[in-house]
Amino acid sequence: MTATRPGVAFRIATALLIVVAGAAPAEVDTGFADFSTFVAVGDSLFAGFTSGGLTASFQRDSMPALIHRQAVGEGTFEQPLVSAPGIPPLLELVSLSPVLIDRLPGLGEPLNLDLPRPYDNLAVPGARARDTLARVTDIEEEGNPPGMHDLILRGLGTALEQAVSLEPTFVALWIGANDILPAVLSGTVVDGVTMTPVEEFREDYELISEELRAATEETRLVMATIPDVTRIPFATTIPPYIVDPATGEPVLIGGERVFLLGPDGALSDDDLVLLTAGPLLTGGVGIPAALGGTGEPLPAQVILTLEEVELILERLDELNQVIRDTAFRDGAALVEVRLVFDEIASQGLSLGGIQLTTEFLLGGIFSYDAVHPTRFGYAFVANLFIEEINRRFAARIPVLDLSPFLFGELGDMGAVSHQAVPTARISAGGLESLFDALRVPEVEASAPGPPPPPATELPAPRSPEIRGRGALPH
Amino acid sequence: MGRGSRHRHQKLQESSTAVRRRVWPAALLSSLLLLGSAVAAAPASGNAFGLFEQSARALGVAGAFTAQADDASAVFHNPGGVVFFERRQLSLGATAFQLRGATFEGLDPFPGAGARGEQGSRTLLPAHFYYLQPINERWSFGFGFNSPFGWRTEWRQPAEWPGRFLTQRFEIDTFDLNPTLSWRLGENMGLGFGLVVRFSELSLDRSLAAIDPFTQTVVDVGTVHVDSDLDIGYGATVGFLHRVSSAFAWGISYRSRVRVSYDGQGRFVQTLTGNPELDAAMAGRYPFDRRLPVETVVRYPDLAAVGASFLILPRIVFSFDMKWVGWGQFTGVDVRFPRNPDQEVSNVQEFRNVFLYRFGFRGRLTETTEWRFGFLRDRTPQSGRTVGPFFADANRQGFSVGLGHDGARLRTDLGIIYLPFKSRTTERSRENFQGTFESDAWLAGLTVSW
Repeated sequence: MTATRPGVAFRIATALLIVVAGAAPAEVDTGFADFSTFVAVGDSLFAGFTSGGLTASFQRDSMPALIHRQAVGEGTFEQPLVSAPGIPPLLELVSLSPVLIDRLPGLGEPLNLDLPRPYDNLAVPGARARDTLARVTDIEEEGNPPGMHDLILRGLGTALEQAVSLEPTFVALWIGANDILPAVLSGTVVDGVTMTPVEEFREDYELISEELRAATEETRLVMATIPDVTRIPFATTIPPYIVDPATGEPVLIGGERVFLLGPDGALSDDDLVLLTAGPLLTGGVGIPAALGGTGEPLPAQVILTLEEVELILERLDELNQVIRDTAFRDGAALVEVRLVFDEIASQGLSLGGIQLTTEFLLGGIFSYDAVHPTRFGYAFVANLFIEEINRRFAARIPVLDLSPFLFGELGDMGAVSHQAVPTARISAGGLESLFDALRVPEVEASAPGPPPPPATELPAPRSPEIRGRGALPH
Repeated sequence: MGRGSRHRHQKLQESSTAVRRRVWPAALLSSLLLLGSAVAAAPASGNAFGLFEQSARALGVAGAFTAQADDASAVFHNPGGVVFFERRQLSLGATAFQLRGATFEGLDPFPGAGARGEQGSRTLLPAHFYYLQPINERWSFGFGFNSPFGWRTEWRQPAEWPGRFLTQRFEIDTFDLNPTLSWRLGENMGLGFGLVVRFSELSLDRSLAAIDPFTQTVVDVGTVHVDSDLDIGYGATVGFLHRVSSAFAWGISYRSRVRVSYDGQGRFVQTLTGNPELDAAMAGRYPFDRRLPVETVVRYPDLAAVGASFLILPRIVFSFDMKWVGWGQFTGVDVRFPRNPDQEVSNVQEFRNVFLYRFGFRGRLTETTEWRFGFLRDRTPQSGRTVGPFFADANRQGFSVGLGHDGARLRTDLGIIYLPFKSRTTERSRENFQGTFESDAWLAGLTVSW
């Protein structure tokens, strides 16, 4: 049989098909991860909480929103958006000499409270694993103001219930930070109060994962370990020794550094001084009388001793093992944020010669509340999630271009003295709203000290001034 | 002329001779230095930033020359071949390098898919000079001047180029002085050894980045410039050539590693951001507008070659070289500021030892004219993790052609190599600077001998 050449009509049709196929937007290959209905469950890290508050300009670049955008494109991913200046109002860098961080004036408002279904992003700032399972409201007594659970859950059920009701095909779960973070923020390690007991966490976390996994037959999960909360700038900015605010260098007496005073005497290099020690140091507490201080020790609530840090780390490892075991049991992708953050905290992160560190204000990774990431920090972690989803579910979701998050223009203000960073202070209102948003439990002070001075001009030696619920003796 | 005037005349002659003796070496060295400084750095072309074909004749056979070494460049290619020349030989030449439009296209996550960079085409002319002098029937002396290593990276629009915080410009110039002695072991065997005196200087520019704490974004706050002195390193060469018959020869050669310690000066220049307080903060962090001493070390690799040549057809010679280059000791360029230990400009490189393969053919067109053709296959020594704006090497395969003409008084050799670099894409770079680097190069060498 003689082969015949394709007819003209066939060739035209083929050419048209090629043109049409080329013009259609290419879909992202998400492998076995079906992003038809994508839901996020978690805490402030997933909510896009930054610099002490929630506001739409940052929520639109929350990690789940970024992941969704890369996997699906500009589709709809509903979040509980809040107008500027945020709820709570975001912290801003106000003054340079000395460094002062305070809340923006005003209060944000919810922008889409009337959404007739649960949000796709059900991450609630301050939520612990038990809250995800069981909490509907933050109003515990009549007359109390509503909180984040009320803003985001709107009385429609728990976060877990609402997530399951959406019948998600893919869920991102990142919960557990608030099951350990309060021990750092309050400076007090109390099992069952500032740290969740392991068995309670295990029971809650496994149930959350199980319920989500069973939402539909196709539901897949990605989850993440908890980073080392003792290495955030909230705990690492103030050194345990006296620093000359003019030079940023340690004050030396006889060639030796002068360590601050704690409940058990002079601190050591192994102790962490929290940002909540700021106003006390400003008032001379913790500084030897011979150097112009009061000679009174800093209270235990603003210090984490080596023993306390070890207890926190031990609990952290236990909680993370629960997460790992659950991920394995439920076939979930697992992002080892703990390991990545450890490396960055130790060595920094170099991107094309740009050095990023966990240093407060100048490091580029942490925001003004010294707890939550910057916009770049969130984008970087979102890429970790994407890479793990790709690896685990044979997907080819493109990672984010980090350049806009590094070079994007968000403002055009000025400078901070590098030497003054150890003396940075966050205002009383700023820290109080942060602690409220994160539901840091109040812990009774064991050693009452002097009342903190008002947030005005700082006497020398300048040092961080922070006021926050649960952190200071009253 | 009286005795006194003869004595004074003699004194003057002795004096002027002594002056010439003092002046002549200094003048020669100055000329060489001037020539060396006028010689632009050879861009990365042969293997990494080494060029191991140091004459037009060797270029024509793609460097398969260890078992031939039949021109004055034997000083470089195989000192054992120096002894086979019965008359004085002098060769002078240059190799034109045209590095064509090296480009960069970025990838996500950084610097991102829209990032671009370009180096533009450059033509450079490293020179070579060789002198051979038979001493007696057994011994011969040779001297060489050439540039076996060189490198230039220069990105256009340096203030905007995405890789500016790694490299805006980097340049190494080298030239070697290579005196050799060769000993005739037998009728057809020669053993040579020599000294390598390597003069070298380097310079680099890079931008400085900082986080603006008010915007939590990256800003340019300055540039750092480093210029080294002309510094010296020493090495040695040895080679053996055995011309077994008119149809077969083989040879081995070795050039040792050379370590050059550079001193020089560094300078930080501030870029004002428009915000006086940020500028003041950066002025406290960097030692702007001061000349600071710097030091660094570059470890150049050793090179071993074994080659053979065969008369495969009447008037056609096939030659083959296998070269081993000890690139593993090259660890990059790490510039330290001894008086400012918190400042450092470093570029870490991960290089490995590699084998190179060269194949060449030569044949007679006429009694006085020879054609040459060659093929080379080089594996890059550079690990993918360290490919970046500082240096981006790739595997290469290239072809060479050449012509030689023996005139009555002059011999002229011409060689050309085309080196298309395989493009190199890095997705796991050490500096987290992802993208694709591409370039290619032409080399054309001309050597005149008499």
